[in-house]
Amino acid sequence: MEKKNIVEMRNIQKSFFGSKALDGFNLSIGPGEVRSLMGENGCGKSTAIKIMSGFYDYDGGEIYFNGELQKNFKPKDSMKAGIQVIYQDFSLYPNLTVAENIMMNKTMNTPGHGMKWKQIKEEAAEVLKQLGAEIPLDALVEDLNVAQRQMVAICRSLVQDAKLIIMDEPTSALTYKEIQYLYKIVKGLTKRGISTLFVSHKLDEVEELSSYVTIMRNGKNVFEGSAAELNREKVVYYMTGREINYAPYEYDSKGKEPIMKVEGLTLEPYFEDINFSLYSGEILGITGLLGCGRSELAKSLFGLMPSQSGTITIDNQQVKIRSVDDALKNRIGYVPEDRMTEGLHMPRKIGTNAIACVTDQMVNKYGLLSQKDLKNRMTTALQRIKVAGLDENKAVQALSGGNQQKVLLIKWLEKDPKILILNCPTVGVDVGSRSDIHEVIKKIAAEGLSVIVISDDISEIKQVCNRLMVMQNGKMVFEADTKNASTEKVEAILVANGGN
Amino acid sequence: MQKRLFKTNESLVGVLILAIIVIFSIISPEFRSISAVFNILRASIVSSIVALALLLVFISGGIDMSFMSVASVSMYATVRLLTNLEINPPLVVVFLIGAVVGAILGLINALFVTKTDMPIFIVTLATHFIYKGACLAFIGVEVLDVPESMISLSRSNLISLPMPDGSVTNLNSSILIVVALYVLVFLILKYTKFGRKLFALGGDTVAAARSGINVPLTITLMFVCAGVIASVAGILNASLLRLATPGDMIGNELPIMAAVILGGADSAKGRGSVHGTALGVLLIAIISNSLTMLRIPSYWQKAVLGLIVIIGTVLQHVLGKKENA
Repeated sequence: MEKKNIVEMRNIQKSFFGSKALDGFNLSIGPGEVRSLMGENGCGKSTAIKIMSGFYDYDGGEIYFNGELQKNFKPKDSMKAGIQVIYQDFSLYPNLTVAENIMMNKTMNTPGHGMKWKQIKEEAAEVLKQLGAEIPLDALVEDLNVAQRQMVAICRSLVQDAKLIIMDEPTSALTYKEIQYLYKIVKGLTKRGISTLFVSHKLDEVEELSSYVTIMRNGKNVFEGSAAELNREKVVYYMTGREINYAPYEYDSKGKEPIMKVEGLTLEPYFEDINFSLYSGEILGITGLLGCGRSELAKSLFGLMPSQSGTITIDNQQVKIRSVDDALKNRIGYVPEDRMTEGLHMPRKIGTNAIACVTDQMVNKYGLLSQKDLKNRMTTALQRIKVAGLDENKAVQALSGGNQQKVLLIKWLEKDPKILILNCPTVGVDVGSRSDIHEVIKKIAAEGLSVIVISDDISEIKQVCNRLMVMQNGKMVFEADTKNASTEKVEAILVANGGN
Repeated sequence: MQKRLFKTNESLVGVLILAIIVIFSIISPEFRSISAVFNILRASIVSSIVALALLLVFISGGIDMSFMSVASVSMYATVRLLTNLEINPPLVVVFLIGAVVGAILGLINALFVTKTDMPIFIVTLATHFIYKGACLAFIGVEVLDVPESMISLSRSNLISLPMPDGSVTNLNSSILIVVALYVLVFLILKYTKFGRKLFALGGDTVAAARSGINVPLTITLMFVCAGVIASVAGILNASLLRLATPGDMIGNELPIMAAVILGGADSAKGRGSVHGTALGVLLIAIISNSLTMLRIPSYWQKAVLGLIVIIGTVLQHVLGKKENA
């Protein structure tokens, strides 16, 4: 007997205000399949998911659930067909218990007005047991960590008889161990005949999980095939439609003095006895797993979390960095990991953000801000990095993640630092902007700026840095020139010693 | 277990109440009398009911500024109608008419909130003034006598105890209405889907929509319930005073709000409970009653009220944090 596809989308068309979001998109997923869906931001992935789950209607094409043609279906129909979406924010209720969260959707979609608490708790306990997840039923979701919340969301799909679980970038906030656990869960679901659609940016995850990959660009399928046929370059090519330059950063420190020397830097319990030198014009990469102390080290160098002991020498002079002011005096800049809350004023204009660090320099002789100087500075600042369609009067929040990151870089370059620390500079940025940002970093370093790039993405470190160091449990455990350290070797170091 | 006990604001307020009772019993012998207890309960009858109306909105993630206006206008409109018609219906009918007015005012709140997508706080701040103004403009400005059935309620006592000095101390029967409403709202919040939907809305509105909850309908139903509850409080207030004063109660929103917040309700987190609200109302009634007994001027009472709110919420925050560490 032929197995029917759980979902089949044929030649789907969808426009928003005249611009095409989906242009002949096809996708079919059979029972017990793990499929990966890859694509840049704005390629139509989320539109496709929302159409499948009934939240959007579509302009053309056909959709089949379990072999039956669907017309004008609503989210309810999609759920009835067994299609469940786990959004990035999980859509859980932090104020309610695990049991109630797991059962909420099912309860709300069964007839009757009363709450059957006994049944709710029993069913929730049963599904948690099936997954082997040990989460107390009466715990409030707000007290759970991200991985546990994800389990609750998966359980919620299962109690609604999910046949296909769509996971939207499920690993973005998980630690290494949690990701491994998620893989196990997904493989367990497959054995039970439940399919997964895994939306991801990361090739290694796709390779680990799924045999079959769909890549989208501009609302169309551009690749359908097995993960084995792909490599990183091909994925980037399919996602962006252009070849990207992977030449590593060439740098030779021979005969140069270090601009910054860090000796025995310690801040318990985050890191201890950190030693390294940074040469001018160099790009130094620091990598490590979540929680290894890499972010704390960066914050310490910028005065946000002053160290307890150890010395920092800049230009052969020992300096004390106890505050952000000290760091700025020593011309150290820091681009934080979370640009939304720490880096940019999201509702403010792009121009205002770009010159936020230097606004105080534009005071005229009356002690007032000179509007003319501000305007001129904005214009020159925004010419530093080419950003398509950049209008200085638009709010920063209207930009894509990649362009926001460029504005943030401009903001710090305006301050004219000698040392620039970048904490995960391409988190949440699509591959196209990612390589743009990498090019900018290489360019400014070539002009003499010293850059420290902190990232958990080894391929990023390999692409931009001339030297890399690995942190583990608060200590530097490895240092090498990038060309002498293969990705496999760095990964092996990261995973060794039971890193968390 | 001990940690668990202090994690919730409810138990903390319980402990605060016990502490205050012990302290005042030592300071003032009057406080230890049954008449003091009755005084506190009497003072809580109206405020405990409006607090319930506010609680519903808090749980759903909003802050209602109009509940006192709704209570006051439903009461005055009802008495005005009965006076104009010159009829004297039984108490149940009086409450029913009030409930209809309260429900209509709640519907107007809901209409603005669901159609404009404005925050509940802003909408109800506006309707608070509109209801009061419209009541004075269109319904009347005179103080009215209340119908016979309302007066008889004020004379009906659940318990009458003779005191040693020969006087009699009474507990009004309307305390039964309070108890009934508290039980009813508790059951609704815990055992009906509507109640759980309110918590879901307070937790995450987007998630609620994704769960298949009809968000506008739930908000509408909530405001209708809150309006009806508030109308009961309004009519009880006029009954106990035996007078219908336009604009009565309006302006006393903040102590009720303080009581609900002290009782653990948190509109930002979608939290709140019936027993917590009861304790919050009691705490505030005890404080103002005991401070009056100690002849402390009313401006100091206000300051103490503020202090209690700060101490109560900060303590909860600190103790809650310890739990997570």
